Amino acid sequence: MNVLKSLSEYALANHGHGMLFIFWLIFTFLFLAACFLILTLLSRISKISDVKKEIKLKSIYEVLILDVMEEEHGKVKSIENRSFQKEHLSTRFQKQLLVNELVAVHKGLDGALAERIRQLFKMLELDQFCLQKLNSGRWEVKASAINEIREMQISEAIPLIEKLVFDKEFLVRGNAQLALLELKEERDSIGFLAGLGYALSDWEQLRLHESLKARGETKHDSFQLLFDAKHPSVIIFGVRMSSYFGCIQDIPALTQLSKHPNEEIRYQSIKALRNLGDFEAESDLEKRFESETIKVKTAILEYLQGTGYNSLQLFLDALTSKDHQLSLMAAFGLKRGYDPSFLEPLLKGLQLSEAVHLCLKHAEDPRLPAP
Amino acid sequence: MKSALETFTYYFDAVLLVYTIAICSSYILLAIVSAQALLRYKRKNANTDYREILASPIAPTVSLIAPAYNESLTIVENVRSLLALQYPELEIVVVNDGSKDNTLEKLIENFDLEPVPYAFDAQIKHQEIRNIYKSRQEIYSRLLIVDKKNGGKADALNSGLNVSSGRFAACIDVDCVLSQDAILKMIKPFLESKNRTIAVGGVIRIANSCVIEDGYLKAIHVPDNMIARFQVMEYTRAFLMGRMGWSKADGLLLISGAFGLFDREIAIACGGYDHSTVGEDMELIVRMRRYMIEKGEKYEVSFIPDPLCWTEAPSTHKILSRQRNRWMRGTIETLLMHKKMFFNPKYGVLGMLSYPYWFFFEWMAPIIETFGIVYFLLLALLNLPNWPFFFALMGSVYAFAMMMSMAAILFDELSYHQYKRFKDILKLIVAAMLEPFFHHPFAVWWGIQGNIDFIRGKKSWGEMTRTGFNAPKK
Repeated sequence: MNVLKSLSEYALANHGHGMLFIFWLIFTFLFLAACFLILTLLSRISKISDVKKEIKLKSIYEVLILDVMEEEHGKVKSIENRSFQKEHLSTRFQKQLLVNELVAVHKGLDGALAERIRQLFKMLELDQFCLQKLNSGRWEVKASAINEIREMQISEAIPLIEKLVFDKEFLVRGNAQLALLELKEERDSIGFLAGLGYALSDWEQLRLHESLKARGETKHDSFQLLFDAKHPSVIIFGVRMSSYFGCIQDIPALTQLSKHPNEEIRYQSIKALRNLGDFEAESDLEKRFESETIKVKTAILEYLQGTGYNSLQLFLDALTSKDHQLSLMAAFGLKRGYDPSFLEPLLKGLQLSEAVHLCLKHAEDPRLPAP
Repeated sequence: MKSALETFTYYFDAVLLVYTIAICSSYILLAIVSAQALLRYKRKNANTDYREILASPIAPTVSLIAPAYNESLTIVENVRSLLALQYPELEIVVVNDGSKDNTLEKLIENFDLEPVPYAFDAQIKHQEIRNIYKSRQEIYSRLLIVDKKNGGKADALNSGLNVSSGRFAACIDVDCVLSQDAILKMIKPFLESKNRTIAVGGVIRIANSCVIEDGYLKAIHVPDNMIARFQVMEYTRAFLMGRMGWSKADGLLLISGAFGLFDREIAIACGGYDHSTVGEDMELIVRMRRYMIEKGEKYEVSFIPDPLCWTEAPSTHKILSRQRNRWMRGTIETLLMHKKMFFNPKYGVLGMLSYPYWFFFEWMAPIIETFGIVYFLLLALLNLPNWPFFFALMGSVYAFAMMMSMAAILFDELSYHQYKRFKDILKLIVAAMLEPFFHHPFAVWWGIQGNIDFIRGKKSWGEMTRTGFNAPKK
């Protein structure tokens, strides 16, 4: 400090305030550079030490988990009498590490073994630890707590999580949706999505879909609850799920949705009807074809593939249309829906451009993508 | 005469001072915003299970477009590495841009290709496509090869955009090494954003001295070559302390051509890559953003800090100078093409902050720095400088550079902890100390050369010779 002081005095005495300012600037920059350097080294040392600590603790936790999995039910209870909690679960770091371990193990288990892990989780009061984390001011802590609660099936948390579905943080909201879906046991547990006033992102849809798949495909016979949802994205999700899980009882509602003012809903509904094997809407869709957008037209053409000779003129008109997507989709429809012995002479009689011929050849090659 | 010189000196000094304060403040501000963004990203994605995308039938389709020109030595290995990328609905489109060597023959032979009647909508203009190939083997069903007349990288990418069928298009350099989960991580911002995301960029890392086997990155080391090591410092500062911040501020103007993921519909709607510039990567992003703003649609451009793409950096001054010269010309061309945005409030952050930043601190920086040096030499000839003041100022600039470089090393350590060995951190610290003396002056000179070549109307890329990842160690 004395050196600094004398340098400052020298700068001020010989070169005025400007020099003194620059001198302090240099000192500040170098001081910060040194701080960053020290922080880098400290971070490295702390990471190495954390890893060592983790390895040591994990080996202890693994023994505990293996004991619980291998022994009879009584063994789980005996843990209470040990000094385990005092020794190995006194800090937040230790608790979180064990939660992570138990969650990871639980993910890969089923039935009685999974139940034992859940019992151990509760016995060590880790459920309380996770519930406390739900009230944290930090969104990332809340988000991870919801995931842990979901995995360990702590249904007491449902009322708390219901509020978090409307959290302003995207990740908290998404995790809360998944947790509610999995914690609520009734068949219509997905119904809460209908009340969401915000858009369901593709990421949220993808995760919800994965969760629904994990429940088993037979559990989903209808998604009509979502067809009247507040937000179009939820309706679209419902339609896609209805199609994926083959919910035949949704066909009448999907037929209604195929006339919805929202283009994406119409598009997805027509695709869903096609996937569900419905052909009741054929004549209606044919009538509406001309007035539809290009995107919906491609869905209609796909729907009409294989519906018979009634739609032939519509396919031929689409084949020669100026829009490449329509032309290619019509080529697919013609090649896959009509007998070549009928189709070839018919096409030869038409004056088709080179581009249309290419579309027809494209549609013949199973390796090439459909529009 | 003397009074006129004094007046000039007074005002010129003031201008330089304001400029220096502005550039330093902007770096500090960007670093702070980047730190916040980095922290948030890490928190948000710490527990993300990307396998959820991998298993999902509703994941969107992605086409990966890789232009190749005279790549016969490495093309087979590179394509195999691309085919191994993890993503459920991925199409690999390799565009042979009229190679003069046997790139195409190697592809045909190794992947059992045959021409197919592929119908596509040529919405963007490009050189004639001679043939499109698919493999006879099911295991290569993801692969599509386009053989076309030579037209340059932008032209090859445009043909790829036309031919590909994915909702999103990842444009890459075929010689880059991508991490296996690169597409899974890059697609996430598209899936989770509230508004339509039109492009996502990622960090490009330098792979010199790293161990790469069969197209996979096996071990990460700081380059042995000092020129490449200086570039590690530059890249870390630019990506983690620059682009991350611009992305957060909604002002990102550049996604590296080495690896970027785009909304294909928007890229096509605004005309694809521009052939007339050597900075086609930056120009496309600026044009896509302008397109969305002018249409009045809400949109996002994101940047993710994960180290997903590894590339070989030039390790000689000759090759590095060509690259920097081209970057400078690309920047100037893009800025001039979109000069309408300069301080135009209609373009929001882009017009009021990003564009002026690129204009003053990327284009003008080497010019102003060179003016400063010439001006100082003139003063020195006239024996006018206040020497103690001069050395103090130089000291402050050096201290600032050190501070920023040390912050970059810290950012890297706290974010992805790429260099595991202490030795590597020490190497970076030494590089940070030497960079202002042994690298920065060259960088300024290459910037000036870029300006001169731009005025001369030079349009060429300049040959980029690479030694290859598997070159034997000396």
